[in-house]
Amino acid sequence: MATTRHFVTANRLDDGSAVYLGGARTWSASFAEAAVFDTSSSALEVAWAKTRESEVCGPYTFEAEIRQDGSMKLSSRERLRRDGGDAARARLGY
Amino acid sequence: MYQYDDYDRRIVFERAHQFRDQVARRIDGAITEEEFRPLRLQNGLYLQLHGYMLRIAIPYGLLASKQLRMLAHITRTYDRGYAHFTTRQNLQLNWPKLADVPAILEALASVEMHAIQTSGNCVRNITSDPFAGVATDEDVDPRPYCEILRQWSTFHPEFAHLPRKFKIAVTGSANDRAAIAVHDIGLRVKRNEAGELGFVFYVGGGQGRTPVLAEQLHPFVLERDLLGYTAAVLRVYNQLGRRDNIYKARIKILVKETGIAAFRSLVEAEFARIQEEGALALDEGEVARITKHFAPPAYDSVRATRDGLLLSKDRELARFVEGNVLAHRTPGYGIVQLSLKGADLPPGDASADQMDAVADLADRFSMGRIVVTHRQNLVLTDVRLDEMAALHSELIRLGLSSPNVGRLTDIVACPGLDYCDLANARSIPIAMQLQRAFASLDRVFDLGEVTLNISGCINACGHHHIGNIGILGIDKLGEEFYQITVGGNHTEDAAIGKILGRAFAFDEVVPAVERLLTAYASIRNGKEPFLATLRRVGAGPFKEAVYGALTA
Repeated sequence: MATTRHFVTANRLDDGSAVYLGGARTWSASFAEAAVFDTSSSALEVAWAKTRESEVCGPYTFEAEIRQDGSMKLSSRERLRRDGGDAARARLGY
Repeated sequence: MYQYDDYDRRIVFERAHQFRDQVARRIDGAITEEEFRPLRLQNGLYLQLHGYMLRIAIPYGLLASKQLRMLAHITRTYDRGYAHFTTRQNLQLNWPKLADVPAILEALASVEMHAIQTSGNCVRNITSDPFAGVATDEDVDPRPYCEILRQWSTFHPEFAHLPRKFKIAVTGSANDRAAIAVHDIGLRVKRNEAGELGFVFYVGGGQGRTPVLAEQLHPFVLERDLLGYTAAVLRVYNQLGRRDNIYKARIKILVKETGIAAFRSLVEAEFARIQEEGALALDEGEVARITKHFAPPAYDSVRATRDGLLLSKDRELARFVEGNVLAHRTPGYGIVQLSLKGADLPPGDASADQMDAVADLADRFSMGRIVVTHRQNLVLTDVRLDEMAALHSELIRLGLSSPNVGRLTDIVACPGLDYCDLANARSIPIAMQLQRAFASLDRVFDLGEVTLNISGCINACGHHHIGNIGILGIDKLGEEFYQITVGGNHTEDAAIGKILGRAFAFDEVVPAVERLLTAYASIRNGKEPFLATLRRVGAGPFKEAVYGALTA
């Protein structure tokens, strides 16, 4: 049976790029370093992130579905956002 | 074209300097994001999926070559070497850094440009006919009135916090190339039987979640009352437009809920009050002063003709003229459309090098002016026909010679989910897949005039509602899906497209469009355009072709 996990993300203040909240409350551009939260703790982390406005803006939480085989299903939006701006450009071939 | 006076110059520089201070205070923590957000949006700075986006205003799409060169410089220096021309005749930078934006605004101000009111619930960039001033069918040049409206609505304190954004388009021709039917206010400037100048006022058009064609509010508002009547409409909207629900906040909803007759009565009552005050009546001298900026340039006597070029032995040139060059009101000249739709760059995108090169071509061939169209192309408005071959050679070198304007591969598309924070689905890859699927120019020319527009969400920045074929990206349980609409039209015969059936997955879209167009080719009469065929036979055969035995 699939389970749901929560992540906390935001945009970096200086260039607007996507970042993810890691375990030690540090921000990383890499989704691989994102910490996993449950519903209530992710909401608390978003509230904390809103106090870190010199680093990021627009923090929010999103869900991912963890399938039985361990693979993760993200929405199209979060998948594209995770892949980053450079990937968007490369994907489009220019 | 209009040149800033000292007042204009001062306010855009002051705004750039103010924003420098605001950005510094945001970065050093003196103001919060909540406090900063409205300030950045007032300067056209959005936060998107992967970064900031700066929307730069291009009033009625008109650019001087030095302005386009500055846009190229900014794109190269502060961004990643390319930018995106939008369906509202603006330009968007995709990757500016927050700390660089004040410098960008100062660079823009140095060439009489800005990003003011390209966001927020205010009067946005006034759009117009890209062929204004040179079209053979034009009754009155709409640009002076666009400029008057621009000056009046910029920083207008009463209309800085409307219920929602407000878009005005103006055309001076019976053939509408400004899509006035899908604007909050659409204006058709013309002369009445007595020879007086005035405006047919349309109100309540728009796309987005609730597409509506504008209704006629007044058959002829005299020129002197342009601002008074516009102010009356805005006042009624400002007072009665819904602020409780963002999806019902546009004027189109107010007009629909009120009814056009009752709405008209409200506007007339407000207009009567404004007339009593008398302050907004346009002064003849001021109109003349602005109009002077748009006086026709001195044209040469040129013997070449468009028909002659169509018979050229250079078949590539002849096809370019057939597709992209329109008759100019001055004999010997042509209006040249440069397609920004090819296999190499997403629709509407141009590289900094291309922008520089087009600016040079405008200086060499077209009196130094360039116009952006709402179909995301560029126009050189004043090209001598005897220089067309030389221009065409340069365009080939630049990759801007595609003769596809007005045809299937002249695809309009918003940035979609590759860039946009609001989008549900990607637009650009669909557009580029279609470019590849319909790479044969012969096939594209055989299909004739057909417009195809793609939006990555219901906000409809890609104007999918008014494409003959529209593609709308939607979200289904976190996955990208696409609805296809048919029958939309952006011209004087405006129409909103209707959904054909169930949505398609990403990989199914291009094959579905292929089936749609194969059906069209088989049932059209002669060279009948797509829209005419659709109107003649209805959507049934198209639905059948697209969905086959599937239940649509």
